[in-house]
Amino acid sequence: MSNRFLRKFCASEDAAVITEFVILLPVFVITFVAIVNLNKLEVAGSRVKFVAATQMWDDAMAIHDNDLPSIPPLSRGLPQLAGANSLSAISNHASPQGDMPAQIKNVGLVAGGSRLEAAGAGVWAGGGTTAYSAGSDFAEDMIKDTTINPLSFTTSWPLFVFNVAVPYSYVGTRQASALGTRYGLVTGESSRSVTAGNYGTVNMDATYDVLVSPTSVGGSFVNQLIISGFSRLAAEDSPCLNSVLKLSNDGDYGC
Amino acid sequence: MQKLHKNESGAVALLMLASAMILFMCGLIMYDAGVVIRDKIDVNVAADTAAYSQASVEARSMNMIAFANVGKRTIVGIHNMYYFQYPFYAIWWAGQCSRCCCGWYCGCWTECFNCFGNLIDGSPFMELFDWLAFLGDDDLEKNLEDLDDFQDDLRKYAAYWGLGESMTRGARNGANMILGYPPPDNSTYGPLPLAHGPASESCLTPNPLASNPVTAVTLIEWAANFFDLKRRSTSSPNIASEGPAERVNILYSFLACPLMTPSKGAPFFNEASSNSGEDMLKRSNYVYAYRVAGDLDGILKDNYQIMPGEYTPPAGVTMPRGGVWSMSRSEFYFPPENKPSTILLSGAHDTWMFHPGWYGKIRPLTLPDEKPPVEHTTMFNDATVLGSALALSLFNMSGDPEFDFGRFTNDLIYMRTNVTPGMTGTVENHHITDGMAK
Repeated sequence: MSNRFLRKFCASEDAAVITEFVILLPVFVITFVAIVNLNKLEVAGSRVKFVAATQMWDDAMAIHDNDLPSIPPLSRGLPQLAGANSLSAISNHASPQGDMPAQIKNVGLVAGGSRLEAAGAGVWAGGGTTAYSAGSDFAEDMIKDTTINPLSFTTSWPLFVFNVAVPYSYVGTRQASALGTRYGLVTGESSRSVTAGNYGTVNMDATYDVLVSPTSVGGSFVNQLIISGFSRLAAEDSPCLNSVLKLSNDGDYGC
Repeated sequence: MQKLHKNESGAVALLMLASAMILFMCGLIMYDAGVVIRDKIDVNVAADTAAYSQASVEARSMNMIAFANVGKRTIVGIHNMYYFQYPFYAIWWAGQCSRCCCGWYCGCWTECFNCFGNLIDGSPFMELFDWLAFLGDDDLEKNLEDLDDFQDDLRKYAAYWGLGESMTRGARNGANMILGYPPPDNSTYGPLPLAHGPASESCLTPNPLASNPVTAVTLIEWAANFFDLKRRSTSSPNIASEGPAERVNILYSFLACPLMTPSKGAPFFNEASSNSGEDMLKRSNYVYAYRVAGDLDGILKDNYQIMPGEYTPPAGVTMPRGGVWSMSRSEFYFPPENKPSTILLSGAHDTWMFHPGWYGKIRPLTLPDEKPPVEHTTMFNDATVLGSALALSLFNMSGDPEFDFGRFTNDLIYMRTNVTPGMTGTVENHHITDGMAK
């Protein structure tokens, strides 16, 4: 009886299709779910990068499009400050590579302002001669943006950085940090966690940064006054020009 | 055998097996595409930020040189004023004395007062000593030379500065290698496109006014500087701000210009102001960014053995196998709206080198009908020399666990032989792509 039933059962083709279907359905479903989860991860991975990049460009363009007063001096005003901020930004937002050279570059920016940064860039761009090596005090003074200008303290809004008090009016009046030559790093970042089946929870993040371009400078009368201010400071700061300004009977023209 | 042939059992299983395999392959394709896309986004951002940052540095340098141009003008004005001041003062004093008449019939008491007053306080002699000392030790000319050195240094140096910034930014944002053209040591396209204008541009003689109407704004700028200097002057008395000479100080400066302006007082002007391919290359930078991305060849092809062989060019170089490429181009730019509002006329130096209005921007790789003076393949080759050496050393590209020198070499050759030759955008002299599409 049992043998006959077994033979009949084996010979029977009833429900063969549904049986095969039941066996393969889990495989099919697992594959499908895996594809959906994979898609979630892929979309999230691309999305964080897109959002970070968009944030960075939006910020950079906002600075570019605005005028001098809208630039926060602490973050973008002075090369020193920008350098310090860049150090901090890079330390807090590590990238897959290139952190160390960027930090070395920013240390130069903090320590020596534009001059040292320029010199450093020349060195590690693989060549070039060091500019400003001719011992020209006045030429150095043109980009020496790390010292306090003792003149034109017109406001009482000091900024304290590394125990150095910098008046707010300093931003925009000193040559290298003045209008059109300001320096600053803009960072964009994004992160999100995605839970995707067997992949578990995956944390994704992206950080980008860019050096902002000099701000667009309209041809307003104020901006021209700032240019005049440059000329004035050049004269006041230079011992040679200063003595000329004091032309008198003392005959002192020493530089 | 006949029975086996007619047996339909397992047909659905085979069908579903095939379906599952196709689905699985779809999943693999999605995964592979995701890997490449994520790397592509990174390398795109790296290329764009590197190029933009490089242009920012160069625009900044242009602005600093423009600042120095204004400084030169001011110093030239002061220089010329003092050179002419004493001779004119002496002429004025002698004239006063010659018209001095102290009789009751004379009305020239003022002239007598000026003549003897100046004589008594010793001004004609003391100012003479001052003037002679000034002639013998003219620090103003030294300052002009220093400014000129500074401008010329920066003109050449900005290329190194910009490339350094470009590489840092590109590496920070995910590229393992940044190649840049023009290289800083390319004497034609590397330095900022600036050259000395005529020295007369630093003063107010009729000559530059006639040849370059925009110089008219100099009058306003110079007057503002002059009065600012005078107001800030701390000495008292001084002949710059007191006495009859005050009224003609500007005139002295004006008159002395053709005779006294030192050659080092000549401002730097933009040499590449047109939209020719030559000038655009002088104002712009190409950036080729590369990111190591593992065995792309294996990922993209070997997973799907049923796929036919990919396109293989005659040179035998495959598609990128070990990394992802992206390109970007930037330029420094002086938008017309950044001209000072006092400039009512357009002229030879419309891209104004007396105003810090330069900034950087991303631009299309090639504009329609743009004809770069250097072949794209040559640009890429030149850029590779410095960029690849620095990527392998400074940025430790070879230390990347996915780096493979053979695949890297393949990818360089791929750009050189497959990509850059097509970037002219023409086939048999017909444009096939325009603008950003390239």
